[in-house]
Amino acid sequence: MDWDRLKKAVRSYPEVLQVGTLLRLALFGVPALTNVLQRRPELSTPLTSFRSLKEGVYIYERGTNPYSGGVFYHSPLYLAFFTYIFPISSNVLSAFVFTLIDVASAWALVRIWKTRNPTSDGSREGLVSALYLFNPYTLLSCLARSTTSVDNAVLLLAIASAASDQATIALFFLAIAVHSSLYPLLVLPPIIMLLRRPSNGSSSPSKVPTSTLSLLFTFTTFFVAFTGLNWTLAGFSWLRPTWGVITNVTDLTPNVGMWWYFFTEMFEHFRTFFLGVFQIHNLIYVAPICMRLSDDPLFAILVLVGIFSTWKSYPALGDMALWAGLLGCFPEVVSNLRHPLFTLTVHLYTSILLPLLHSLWLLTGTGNANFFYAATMVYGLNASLAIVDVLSAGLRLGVKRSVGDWLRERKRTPDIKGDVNGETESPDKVWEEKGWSVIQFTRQVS
Amino acid sequence: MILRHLCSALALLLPLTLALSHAELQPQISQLFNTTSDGHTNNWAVLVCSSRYWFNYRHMANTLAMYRTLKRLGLPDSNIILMLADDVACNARNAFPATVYANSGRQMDLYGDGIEVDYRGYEVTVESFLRLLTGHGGNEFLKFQDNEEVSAYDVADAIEQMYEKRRFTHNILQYLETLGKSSKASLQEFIASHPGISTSLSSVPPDDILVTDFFGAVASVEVLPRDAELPLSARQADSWEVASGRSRGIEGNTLSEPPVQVKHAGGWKRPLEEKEEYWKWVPSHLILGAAFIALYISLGDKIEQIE
Amino acid sequence: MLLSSLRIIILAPIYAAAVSSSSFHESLTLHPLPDGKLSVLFEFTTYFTSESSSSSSIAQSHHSLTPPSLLLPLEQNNVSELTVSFVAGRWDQSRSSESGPLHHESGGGGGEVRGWLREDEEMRKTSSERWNSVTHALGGLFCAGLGPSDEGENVRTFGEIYPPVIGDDTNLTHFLLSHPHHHLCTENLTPFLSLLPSKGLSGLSSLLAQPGIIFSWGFKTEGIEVIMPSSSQPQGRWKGWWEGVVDLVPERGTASREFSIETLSKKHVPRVFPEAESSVIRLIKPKVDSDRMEAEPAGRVEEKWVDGVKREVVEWDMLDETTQLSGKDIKVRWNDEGDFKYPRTFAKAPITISRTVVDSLASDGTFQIKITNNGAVSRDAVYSEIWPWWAKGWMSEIKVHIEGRKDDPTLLRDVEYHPSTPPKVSTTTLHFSLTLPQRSTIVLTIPFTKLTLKYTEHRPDAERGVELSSGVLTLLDLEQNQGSDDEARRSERKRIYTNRLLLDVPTPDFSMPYNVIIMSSTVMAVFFGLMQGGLTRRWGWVEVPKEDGTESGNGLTKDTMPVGINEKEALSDAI
Repeated sequence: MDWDRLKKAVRSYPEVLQVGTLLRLALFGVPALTNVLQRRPELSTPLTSFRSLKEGVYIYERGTNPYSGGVFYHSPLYLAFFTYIFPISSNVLSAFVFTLIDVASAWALVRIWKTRNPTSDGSREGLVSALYLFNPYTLLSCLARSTTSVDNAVLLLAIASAASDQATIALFFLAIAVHSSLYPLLVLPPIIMLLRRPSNGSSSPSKVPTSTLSLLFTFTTFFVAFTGLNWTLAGFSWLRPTWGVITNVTDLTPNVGMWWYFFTEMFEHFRTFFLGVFQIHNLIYVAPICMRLSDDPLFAILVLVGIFSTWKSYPALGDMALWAGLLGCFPEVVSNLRHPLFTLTVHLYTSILLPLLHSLWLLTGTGNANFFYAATMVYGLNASLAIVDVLSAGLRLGVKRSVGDWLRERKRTPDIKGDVNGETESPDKVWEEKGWSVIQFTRQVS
Repeated sequence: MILRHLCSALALLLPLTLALSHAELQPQISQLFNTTSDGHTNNWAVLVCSSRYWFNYRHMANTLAMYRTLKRLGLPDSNIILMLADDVACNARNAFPATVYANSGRQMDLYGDGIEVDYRGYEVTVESFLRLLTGHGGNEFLKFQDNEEVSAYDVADAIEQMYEKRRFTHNILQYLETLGKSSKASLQEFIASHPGISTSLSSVPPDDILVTDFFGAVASVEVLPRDAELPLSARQADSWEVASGRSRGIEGNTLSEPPVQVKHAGGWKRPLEEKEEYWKWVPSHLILGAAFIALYISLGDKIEQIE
Repeated sequence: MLLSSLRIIILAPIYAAAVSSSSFHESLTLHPLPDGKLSVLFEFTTYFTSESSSSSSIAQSHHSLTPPSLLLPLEQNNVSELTVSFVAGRWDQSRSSESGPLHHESGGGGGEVRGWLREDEEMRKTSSERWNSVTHALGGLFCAGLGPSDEGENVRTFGEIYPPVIGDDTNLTHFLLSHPHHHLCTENLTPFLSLLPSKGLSGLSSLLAQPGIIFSWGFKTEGIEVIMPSSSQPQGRWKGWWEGVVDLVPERGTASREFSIETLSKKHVPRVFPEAESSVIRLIKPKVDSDRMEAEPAGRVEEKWVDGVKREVVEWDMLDETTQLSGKDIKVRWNDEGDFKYPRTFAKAPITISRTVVDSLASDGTFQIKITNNGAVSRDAVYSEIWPWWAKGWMSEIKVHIEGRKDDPTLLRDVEYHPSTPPKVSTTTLHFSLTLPQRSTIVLTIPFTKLTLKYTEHRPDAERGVELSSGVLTLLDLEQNQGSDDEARRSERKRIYTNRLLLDVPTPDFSMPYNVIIMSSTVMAVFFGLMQGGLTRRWGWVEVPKEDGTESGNGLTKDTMPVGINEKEALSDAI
């Protein structure tokens, strides 16, 4: 294996896109594979499954409201998109659509990467897009035609536009993202922070004034406009099956999240209380993270995306793919991770166990639901620890940077490499050499 | 498992009399029963078998045995509520369809052909049981729970001890089968073989309690001409008809007479003369409460669902 | 002497009632099936008029032929027609060469109650409330919980499948309630017999009043059908039926197929019920080799159309003074047949239907319904299903094809789909309008998913599974006129039922609620704790001295480690 050639190929961004596209189209041509993947609960939840989307479009085309049947949970936006714009019944066309969507996500990731490293020579762009396109979670989600891929693309486009100071476009995509799955609302504050940040160096005057109120107003306008569009399509019947199901979790189909078994085993008496607890658990991190990480809103977005990808009511592996792709834009955070190998290994472990134990429960009947639930617990715990790791890595990086800044100010320049350029690139090496390490105080130190 | 036993009134004499001595309960309990002014007993019974599946055949047989005994001693079907959680008589595994036997000798068919099962299969739940007892979903049950003097754990322990010592159900059956309707045997003789039972708190000595009165009731029946109108005061509920052909003996002979229509003369008449009135409702309360508490314990963990 | 005088006293009121034109008819039909079994059908029909059972007098008419316990709830709730049926066991269409049991009104498996309610002029109660009280009253009467445990269980979309017998459906509402898990046992037989005027003691009902014999039959169905009198039709009718399939030969070994009333019911032909206006025993001769069958004593033979086939029917009139059958026996045997030999092939029933679930996943499956039309003409039919709320069909994936060929969407003319509304208890009803081509089998596949139920929504024995109601195939092109060439269409059998199905339901572990709460909350707490720690605690930095004792360049050691969030200030303090 010619590693050098591979490395060079990976560095080249358009080639990565080409290979990714071809791979997907080739695999879409294997119907046995896609049919199996479409039914996997790990890849598609009732809210994102292609099968129910096809069913909804089918019923809608025959003049009945698909929301009256009670199992169609997609947003009317998707219903309209796949009825009027892209006919969903054609397998070939939908394959192209989903491939295109994945490519768009990769493109958005590269844009995010570029805004973080404007002086980069493009050598890492290929790697960033490869990390997303060839992530097995992404690939399998795309092949399963799960609308998680679409949600991911929309959110990534929103973040990319926000990072590039394009407020209107960013809020437009964010409104779509919130409409289809409510949880991107959690990243609205950091996106607003991102848009309000004084543009450093880039001279693109945004057409929309960047005050918080105006941004909020723009977002609300788009949101209400989409609500109106939904109303013209399906009246108010779509509220309960889409947002109502996300908040009330009335459909308990097994998925990789922490919610379904909890609310299956719950008695009626406590259901509302625990629903509130689980939803607040998502909301409660927004304010602290935004305040603590206010100097790097993109990092705040990364952490929040990780949080709701794990703790949302109907997660899928595609949500974790989104987070992993975003993480690829933060290589300095990755190098500060404490246990990346552990996280990766457990992901590998759960990706084998989850389908296996699911089959053991429902296919062969030799196991029961607890097996699959245990695998979901492992997956959730692993993802949670990974998020904590990322947060700690980011904070540690912040400490290293501020120490570096401080040291530079104190004119101890010879010890810090790269100091001549004024960059804070890679203080890690220095720190390693010097034997410094960042710690966290667990008690009040006087 | 033990808790799935049929309700045995005898096992719960002790806590029930405790309960009854609580002043608060008595007016509540007496409201549940219509007792006519001339001192007739009005016994009711609730028989529950909460065990499902074929391997719990014996629990169903026990419940049906008690049902048969109660009917034979005179309690009518309208005063018995029979709850069977599964069907063994017409189960595909039953080699003798529509029959349930108490022992392998197959001497007596407990199912018979006059059986009325009020709650079958999935209808046998704690909810339905409580609702039929209290009339409204279990509020009064909660008051029982709050009653300090009735501790579920004490009763459960008592039952467990008795069960481990001997299977008293069969003894009861055996003894009761030898009784005739007009037997004057008292409860004291009945419980003489069970020294583990304390009746010190019973306000009535077991000597004075007739077994037939405790477990059943005796009705006297008169055949009236068709046009006789019943005085309203004698009717407790809508009048009912009995086809005498239905009441078969143990031997299973069919009576080939044409249906005889009788009118009930209202209330039950006890065969003996006067007994003091104050304990007339004790047996009925004991039976009812016994069944009630037996089920409560056996399905205790499901009570929380009611709340 | 005493007996007869008692009888006069007791039966005097019945005579009085008979004057007001109520009449009772009973019949017993024996129909040998080709596989060594015998289908036995008891039918008891009572006609009554509104005078004998007007609303003011029902409560007092203890002595009429019509039981007040049955009619009173129907009258009070303004019911026009009602049918209750219980079915236990499986009807084998191929081996019996019949599409269904003799009595066409028997429903599918389990218990089913359906009826037409008139509109309530005074609007005292809604139709749902009235239906509730009717079903609960009847359930109490039959010792079977027939009422709906939830309002959503009532099916309202089957009005065209079960059209009203009298009147039209303009001011009538149809209700149907299906309980496929019901079983049939003695406690259902006893009240049935008590509803009859003969009470199971005399007449043909005395043959029925033996649960030990009856419940050993393989297939059993019991039911009643009541048509209440109305202003346009003053005569009402209620019919009770009991049908079963008796094994004439043992399963292992062979024996002769001959039978008699005594071998069937251990009793001779009973004495006639005095109030019966007609009492008939019939024997339907088989389709093939009907000459070999001989009945003794010889009855009256005539030809009748039974289910689209002309059959020879031997009839014995019990009321006929000349034959005097009571106390005697009716024997039936096949000439020149010693021990019965199972036929190699069976004549095909005109239309057979079967339903199974394929696919092995517990949460997803596919219904496969095979309908075979063995006739020479193509038929129009509607296939209907009732599903519980948690069984969700995928309408976009329904396929119809003739067996052995490709998909042919023209066979499926129309689909009427009434989806359930999860998570409320409701039913999904489907009506497929199909064309059944001649002499072929069409296969209808419907993929479906079973939604995951909550802990509290499962049954007590959830691992057993849940029964699904039978599917109904309603034939639309029946013709009653005798002049029609198509014999198959002359049948009066309008509906053909499939068997019930037992569906596996994916169950959670019922012992786990607290464990799940604890474990999930633990993970959440671990995550929250770590996040909170990372966000709120102070970060600092230390230098770990090298092992060789040399110091690092800037002299910041552990002893002089800075503290505080503002590292700059801290460092300035240290140095």
